[in-house]
Parts: sequence; structure tokens; C-alpha cells
Amino acid sequence: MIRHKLAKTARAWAGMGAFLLPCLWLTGAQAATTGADWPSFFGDSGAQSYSPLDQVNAGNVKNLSVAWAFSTGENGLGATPLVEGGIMYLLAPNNHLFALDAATGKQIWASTREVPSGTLGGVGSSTGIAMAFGLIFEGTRDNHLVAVDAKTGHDVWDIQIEDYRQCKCTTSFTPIMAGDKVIVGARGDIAHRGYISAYDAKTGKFAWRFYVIPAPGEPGNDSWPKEIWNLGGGSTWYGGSYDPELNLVYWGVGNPQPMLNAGARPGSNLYTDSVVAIDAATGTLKWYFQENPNDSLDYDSAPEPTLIDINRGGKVEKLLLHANKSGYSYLLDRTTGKFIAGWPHADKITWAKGLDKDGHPIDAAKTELNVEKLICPSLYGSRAGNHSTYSPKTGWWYSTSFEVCAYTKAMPIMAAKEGDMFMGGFIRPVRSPDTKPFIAAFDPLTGKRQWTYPTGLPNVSPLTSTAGGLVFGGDVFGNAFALDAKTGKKLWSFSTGSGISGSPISYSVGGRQYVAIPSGLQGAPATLIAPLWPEEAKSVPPVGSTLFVFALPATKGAGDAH
Amino acid sequence: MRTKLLLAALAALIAPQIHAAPSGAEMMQGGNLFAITCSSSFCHGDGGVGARGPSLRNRNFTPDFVRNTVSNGRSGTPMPAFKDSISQAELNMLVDYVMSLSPNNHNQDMAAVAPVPPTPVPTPLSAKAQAGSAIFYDASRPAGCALCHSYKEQGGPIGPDLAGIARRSPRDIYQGMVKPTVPNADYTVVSVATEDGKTATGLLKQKTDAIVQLYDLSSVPPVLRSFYGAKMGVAPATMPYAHDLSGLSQDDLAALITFLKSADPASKDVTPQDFAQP
Repeated sequence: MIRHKLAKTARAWAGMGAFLLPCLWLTGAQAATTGADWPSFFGDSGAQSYSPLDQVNAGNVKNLSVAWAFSTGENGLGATPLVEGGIMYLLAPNNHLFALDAATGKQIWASTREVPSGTLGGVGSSTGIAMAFGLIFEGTRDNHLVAVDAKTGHDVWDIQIEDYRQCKCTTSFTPIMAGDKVIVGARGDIAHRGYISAYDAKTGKFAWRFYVIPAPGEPGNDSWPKEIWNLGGGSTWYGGSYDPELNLVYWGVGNPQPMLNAGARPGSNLYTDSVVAIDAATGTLKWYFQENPNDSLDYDSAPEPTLIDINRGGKVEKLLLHANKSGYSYLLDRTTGKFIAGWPHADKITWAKGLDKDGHPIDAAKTELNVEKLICPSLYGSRAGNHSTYSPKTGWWYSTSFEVCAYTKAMPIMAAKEGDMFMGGFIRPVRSPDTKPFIAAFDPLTGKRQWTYPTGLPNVSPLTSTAGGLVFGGDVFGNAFALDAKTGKKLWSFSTGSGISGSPISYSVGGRQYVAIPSGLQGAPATLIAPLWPEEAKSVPPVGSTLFVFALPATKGAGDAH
Repeated sequence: MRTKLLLAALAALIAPQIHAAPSGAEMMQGGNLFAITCSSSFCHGDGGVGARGPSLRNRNFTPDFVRNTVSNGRSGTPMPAFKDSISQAELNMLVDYVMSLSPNNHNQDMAAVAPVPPTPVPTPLSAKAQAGSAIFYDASRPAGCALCHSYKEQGGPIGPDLAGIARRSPRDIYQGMVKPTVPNADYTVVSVATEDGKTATGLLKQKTDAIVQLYDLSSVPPVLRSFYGAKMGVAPATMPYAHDLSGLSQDDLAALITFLKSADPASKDVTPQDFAQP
């Protein structure tokens, strides 16, 4: 009976999709999968964070309840678990890796790696792992890339990327797979020359490194002063995406250094604040699109490049959608890097008057030496590493805006060496004077807003959509929630007891769909809550570290009940 | 608390710049001010710990030290001066909050104001040694020194820490660069063969009944490989090895040797003549 009802709902959804999108056929960047596994950070290599599962849907999500929970015994849980073949792999902040039975939560193995002193703290934790060839790839707190045997939890290979004590850097929030290579960025808001590295996944053998700042003699080096180019930053914070057909790796590059003093580095400062497309075979640059030349506001281009394919009259357009911390989103042709459209995903944007026909900011504000200016969004961004989601089913893109501004000024810079903080300025964040934080749905082609869900406080959790017409997330008070992907209406919530900054995922085992949501607040944007919303902050629970896994109540026909 | 109040009152008598003990509300305001001012921009982190700047928890600061540092900054570090951007009341709240992060620090009661020992300032490297350090740590060199070696414990975990060779002559060091002794007496090269047919050769890192770990030097950076199981064959082996010095001029090597000798306080800048073949 229930099965029959589910099937009917699914048909109704499919029908609605066809009705709403009569001439556009939207698909993922990847060949369709059954969606039983969640094999990579974003669920697929196109960074859509979309699950094709629809057993849990807008009609029945109100019945979603806890199937199992797993506590890591740590503080904070920002990690996105991966699932393959009924086994879940979960990374906790202090280099703890767990393999769990994805249907029951029973621990299969745990692997611990010592965290040496002096590594980056909360912001230094990886929040993602990659998986291929029976190996789990983990970027560690001490800046190693380690391959762990998925069956046993034993280390197979281990490579030091750079001494974290020297570069004061660590690995990107997650490594990603590109064919037989594992690709990893370098993270740290410091004087450093950012890069993306590739290693052979099976052996750990170094394959290539792409420096986001060109060396003397390479095109683009003249966009930097001679004294500073090799300290110019360009942290590759988050995770990239990969198009296997074009064999291109896409990555968002962070801000230049010194961060808030652009006068110290005249030039466009390539390829900071850019999306770059890199040949996965050779590590060479295929194209770049710079969003904020000579940035003085810390507007990283670091968020995920989301790959979207659109079929118009039989011709498939390969697109890339990218959000900048500046509040603007950009739609690019991902074969050539050509700018197609740009539009705001935030309400309060004061730093530019808009984007011109080439996607460049109009009248971009700069910091001034020792003069505070109110700039929106703040350097925390309209959003940060809390990724968006794209649903091929609705054809909409879902993202967050913090609506936080900051009094921002440049300050004189002091001589810096590699690994030094290189702020070159100062900020005082404040709430936006007249707008409020939200989650919203957008048409990625036009930027037209479809609905807005006010979040009260900034939503720092990543978002994940499903074919069941749902968008999952969680708030800083610890409420996991599901929004109706069509209307933005909250359909379900559950109090996990600790703030949520980790990514929801969905998978199935034995025909039963699960939704996993990490609970345990982590990350820089969460630190804004107490000072900017002191009244509400009293209700923010202490930091825990528990993964909650939800499913519909087990019944005959809803998979193998436990 | 009463002791603290008493001491604070006493302190107010003897040192007029010390203000009264903070109330809970003031402490919370101080915490919020800290969060906006000191932990934002990723400097000192949430609650004074966990970000890029130094941790402020469980330190032996005196209130005066904190006050002076917040007001005037710390020259030679990225810590800016805040005396022009915050009020006296805000400064007081910040000092109280930062002191509260070190609950076992008796300095906050002003009962025992021990002078903070000055942080020893390392002798600055000469320009030539700095140039050598840049080469040593250059991560963009395909065979960068620091992929394997460390210097004063900064760098790679594989080869020996090279601060130990600082007193050797420039010529000795040069010889070690062009004709490395790999492995030296501290290292063993082995081949391992597991039950399921995996094999590898490299510098032995660890061998127990359950695990053999070795650095496979066949690619750069070397890969640490781990093998498990009770029935592994481990045999002594040999391995050809050379340093890749391509792209480095004689002047670059002189700078590098200058840096490698810098742990010796008596060291001087090295020129190519110092290690040229006689």
C-alpha cells in the first residue's frame, strides 16, 4: 500500500517536472546513477550535492525518524560521510576515521592518526574524504594525504604535502577524484603561494602541481609586484569538481594576500579570486575566470564549481555555476570559461553596483588605509564553505546568504615570510542594517529567485537536495530540517542537540533510503553568532559530535527493516 | 571570588590603572568584543584558540602585558595596535576576557606579578642564508630539499635533520649534496614481500610483527608505504639514490650551504670558492 503511494507520488513529481520544463531537459553532469551510494564529497563529481533517491519525499518526510546515531567522541562534526555498498566512512575532526554499517551504525573499524601540536585547530579539520579503488583518501591535520584501505582501516600510503610548520597550511577541506588521480588543494589564510596537487590514487606517486600564482616568465606573473608574488595567497580551500568527458578539474581559488590591502599588490593578482579549469592529465591551465581582480575584501572564489548540463533543442550546453563570497553567482561555459550570466544570490551587496556584460564588478569598492568603510557582505562572505545544491529535477539551485556586513579597513603591511598572517587590514563584522539571513532557490540561468526561506540566524550548514523534492540542511540551534524544494516550506525538523555545519547526504541500503546529517558546530562563520546575535546565542547548545541517520519507519515494503 | 575582589581592590590602591573586577555581563561583553575583534579575521580563534595566531589559553600573561600588547601591537608580528580603535572601557573588557582564558594563571589576581620572560629572539639569518632557506623550502622545485629533509625540525620527515651538519666545512656539505650517502648509518634499506604478493623497496621506517613501513624513494616526494601481516618477507636491499640539483647555480648552492650552516652561531656566508674542488 505504502509502496503504491510512493510510486504514485514519484510519478506525480516526474509529471510536474516535465510540465514545468517543457523545452529544457536538465541532467547531472554525470551519467545517471541509482543514487544508492554517496561516493564523493558532493555525491557526484559535478558538485551538485543531489541525491536521485525519492523514497523519502515531500509527502512523507514528516514521518522521518532516527534510524541510528553515532557519536565520534569529539568536539564538532563538519564532515561529509561517504557511503559505498552499505558501508559508511566518516571523518571526525582529530584525524579519526570510522567505517560503519550504513544500515545500523555498527562500527566496523576505526583508524586514528596522531594530531601533532601546532596544527591548525578547528579550522584545520578536514571535512571530507574521497574514495576509489578500495581506498579512502584523507587530508590530515598535519598536511599529509593518506590512503586508507577501506576494508581494514590500515594505511596503505602516506605522503607529506608540505611541512605544516613551515607553510602553516593544510589540505583543502576535501580531496576529490579525477579518474585515476586524487586531487587536493592547500588551505590557509596566510602568506603562501597556493596550489592544487594531484597524486596517483593507487600508488601515491606525485603527478602534478598547479600553482595558482604563475612563476616569473609564465603568463600572468606580471599581474603581481616582484616582491610579493610568491606570498600572494590563493588558498584552494574547498573541494573542486571534475568533468570526466572534458577531463578537466575545476577549482575555486581564494583571495590574494595581504588580504585587505590591495594597494600593496597593484595588478589583477592572477589567478586569485578565480575559477580555474585544469587539465587532469597534465595539470596545465585550460582557462580561468577571475571574479574580483585586485581584491581587497577577501572575496574568495573558493566555493564549489557546480557542473550543470542543459539540453536546449537537442544541444547539450555544458555549464558551470559558481558562487563567490561577494554575493554574486556566475554562470560560465565550462568548456571555454566564457561568462554567460551573473546575478546576486545575497540581498545586501554594497561593494559593487552590479556586474557588467563580461561579468566584471561595476565600481568595485576597495579598502582604504586606516579608514573604516561599511562593506557588505563581510569577509565571512555571503556564504562560505557551506555548499549549495542543484536539483536536476526542479532545475533550481539552492544556496544560503548570511547577510553580514563589516567595517573594513586596510592597514600598513609589515614584511612577511611564508606562513605568516598577512591581513594588511582589519574588520569589525556587524549584522546587515536592513536585511536578514536566508536560504533561497534560484533559476541558475537567470538568477530569478523562486522562493526565500528566512533562517533567522545565518545558516552555516551545506544543503543537499533529493529527487523526493526536498532540500535538507540544519541550523545553528541543532535542528536538522527538510524544506520543500518547490516552495521553501519547512516540512520536517528534528532537534539533534548541537548546531549543524556538516553536509546532509542520502543513500540507500537494501531498498531503504537514509538521510544522514552530522551534528556538531564547526567552522569560522559559526563564530559570528555569539557577538552579532547575543540574545539568540543563548539558545545555541554546546558543541557535540554525533551523526544522525534518519529513515521512514520500517514497514513491509520499505526495504529490509532492522 | 571574594579573594579576587579583595585583591582587585588592593591592586586598585597600589596601581591606579587597574580597574575593578569585571561583572558577568562585562565579561560576556568582553567575550563578544573579543569574538568580533580578535577571533574574527581568523587570528586568535574562537575563545582564543584554534586559529592562525598564537593561542591565548593558559598563558602566563600579566594584565599589563595584555593591555600593552592590545594597545600598541607587537612589532615584528602581525598583531596590530588597537589604541586608536577601541575605547578605554573596551580595552579593560578585552584584558579581563583574555586573562580569564588562563584560569590557573595567578597573575590575574595580581597576587604574584612575575615578569614575563622575554621570548628569545633567534639570530636573524643573513640575506644569503635567507636565500638558501627559500631554496631549501621551495615547494615548487620537483626535488625540493624539504620534501625529505628538515632543518631545526621543519621540513620533511624522511632524511636526517640537517641542523646537525652545521659545523661541517662547506666542502663536506657540498660533497654530501653531490654524492649523498644513502642510506647513512642511521637508515636501512629493505625489500618487503607480503603474503598476497605485494613488494616494495625503500628506507625502513618501522618494523614490528604486524607492520612494516618504508619510504619508497622511487618517486619524489617519497611515499610512505605500509604493509601488514605476520608472514612478510623482509630482506636487506640496495637502492641507487642521487640528489637532483638541477636548476641550481653555484651561487644557489653557496646560499643553500650558508643556510645549512646557520644553526652554528659562528657560521659565515659561504661563497662558491669555499667548496670548489682544490
